Amino acid sequence: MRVLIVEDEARLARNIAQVLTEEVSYAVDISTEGEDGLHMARTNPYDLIILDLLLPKLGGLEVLRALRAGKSRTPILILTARDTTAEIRRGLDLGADDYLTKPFDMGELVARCRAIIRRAYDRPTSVITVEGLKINTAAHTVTWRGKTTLLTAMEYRLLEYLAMRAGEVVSKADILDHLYDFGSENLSNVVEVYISSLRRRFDPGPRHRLIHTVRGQGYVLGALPE
Amino acid sequence: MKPLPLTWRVSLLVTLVLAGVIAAISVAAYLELREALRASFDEGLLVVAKGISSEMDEPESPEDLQAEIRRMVRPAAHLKSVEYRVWEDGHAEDLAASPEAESRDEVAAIPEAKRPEPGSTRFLSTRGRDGPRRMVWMRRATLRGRANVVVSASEGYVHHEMSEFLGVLLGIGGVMGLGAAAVAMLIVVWGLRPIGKTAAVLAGITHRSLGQERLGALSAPRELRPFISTLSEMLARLNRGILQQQQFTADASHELRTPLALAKSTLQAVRSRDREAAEYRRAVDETLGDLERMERLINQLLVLTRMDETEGLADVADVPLDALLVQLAAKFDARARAGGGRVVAESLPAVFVRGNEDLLTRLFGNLLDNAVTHGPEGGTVRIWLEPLDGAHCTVSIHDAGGRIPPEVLSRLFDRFYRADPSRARTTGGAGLGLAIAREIARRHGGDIEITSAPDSGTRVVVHLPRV
Repeated sequence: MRVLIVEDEARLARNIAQVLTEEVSYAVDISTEGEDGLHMARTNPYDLIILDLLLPKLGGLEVLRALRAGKSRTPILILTARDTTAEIRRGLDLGADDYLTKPFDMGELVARCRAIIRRAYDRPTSVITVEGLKINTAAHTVTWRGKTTLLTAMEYRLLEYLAMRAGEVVSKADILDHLYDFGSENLSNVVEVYISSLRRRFDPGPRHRLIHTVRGQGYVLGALPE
Repeated sequence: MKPLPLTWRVSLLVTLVLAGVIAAISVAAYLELREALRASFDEGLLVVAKGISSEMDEPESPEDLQAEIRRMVRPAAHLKSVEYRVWEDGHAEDLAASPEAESRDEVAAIPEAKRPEPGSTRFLSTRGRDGPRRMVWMRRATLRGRANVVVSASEGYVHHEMSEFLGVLLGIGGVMGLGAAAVAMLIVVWGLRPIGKTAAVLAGITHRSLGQERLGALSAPRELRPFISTLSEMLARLNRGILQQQQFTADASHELRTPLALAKSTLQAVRSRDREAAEYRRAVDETLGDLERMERLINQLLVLTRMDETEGLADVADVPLDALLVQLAAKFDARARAGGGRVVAESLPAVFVRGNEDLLTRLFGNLLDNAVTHGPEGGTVRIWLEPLDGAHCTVSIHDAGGRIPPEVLSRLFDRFYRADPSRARTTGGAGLGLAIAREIARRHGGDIEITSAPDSGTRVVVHLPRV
């Protein structure tokens, strides 16, 4: 999952990014002003945008309005010190998905982020089960045939993304877009490397595959689409 | 004592005025009528007297004369108990007299001064047994020598007529007075109704609905309009004040929440797992910085709030402004040197300002803080102090900073206004420093102005009255 934080308090953005990366293995980009934030939101397929309202150059509400006017469906969580009911209503009515006021609890922010992303992928619960594989996106644990398995951050990130879209063909470009932030360097075959390491961990046996390769299109977790 | 209600006061006044008018008209009518009645009464007496007098010119025997006069003097409608007496000067005996002969006593009662001159006629008021009487006394030369003719009659008729008329006047006047009072009352109540309506609208105003009232829409009469428009302006001022206060509270809470959110997020992020000692240290340092920022902000808010709540100055003394500036310059010079800059205050003349030393220190501290923080890196900040003629002085603080745009310049003194939000974040300012500085300057009877030009830098000038 890839998240954009538009927040002019650089330290606050950094703290949120740290927690999102460490706790839920999200790829995080940060922008500290409105215009740049809007540009980034328009050019990258984020799973969530955390948006402050008081921003230099372009206010948060203008960014929100511009994104929604441009038919962007990216979930947006407003994170601001503006806490009156009128402001919360205005933010939500302009198309924000959630509203959290500062100062906030980091755990609550993370839970809200997870819930918003889950809804966006049409997953009503935080546990996704695909054949013998159970991914608990809240506890951040993976159970394969009853046994809990520890994954590296990148492995988990990839598996969670595939699980969210289980049964769909997921292109390699989509995977790269949703797994890596701007700061990370990725090699061209990085996806293949992580796919094969996941396949080694979750091997349902001969003539069976948990992660299928659709030639020229991408990968599918679980049963292949018709 | 509670003042009488307006309705009563105005009604009473109108009633009194109307009653006065009615009374004046009544008195005038009364006097006029009395005059007319008396004139016609006198006319009647005169007719009788002239008749007698013309008989005197006839050459008749005294007996015939007496019979002729008796025949002539008949009681008329308004001439009651008519009496007469005719005699010649120098003769004790009357030529003729009415049987009662009361006029003899009447005539005797008249003092010499009031008696008519020979050849003239005079009307006189006398008092008889039956009340006030009126008399005409005619003295003229006749065939029979210098004759006196006196005819008198009771004025009872006139008095009766007048008292009847007075009764009518009092009755009509009373009814008119009462009617006038009632009409005045109705008119006043009707006239004051817009005040009631305005009051009803005003009664509905609360601090929440302020700004939504529509006093202008009231169809008030012209006299009430200045009152209503004054009221409208007052309500608008109140509303602006409340809105400003709300904005201030919202801004203040925003400014407090931001460092609080920073501190909390820093601690929660570092707390989420076990970390290296250096990471903890960094988190603690950052949090301390946030706390300092909050502390500074709370102090500034307290200063502003206290100044908003009080008027004038406390602990006023003669403050040596030059010494205060030199001390501040040294403090900020130490800070500026860390970035390669300087703060210079050289050869300041001795100037005393009457005021609060703490506030004055805060004023110039805020200005120097701005100059050092927002001026160019490594630049020199200069302080001048000039005693002006009269009772004023100016302090100028100059830095070589770039030009501040005019639209920013005009807003610099607004509370929570920051010319450069992103930069203020790193320096921790909340945009209150200049607002506080100006408030302090104004409290001291002075003011602040800022000018900025690309070639000459930024200059802050504080005007203060000096001792």
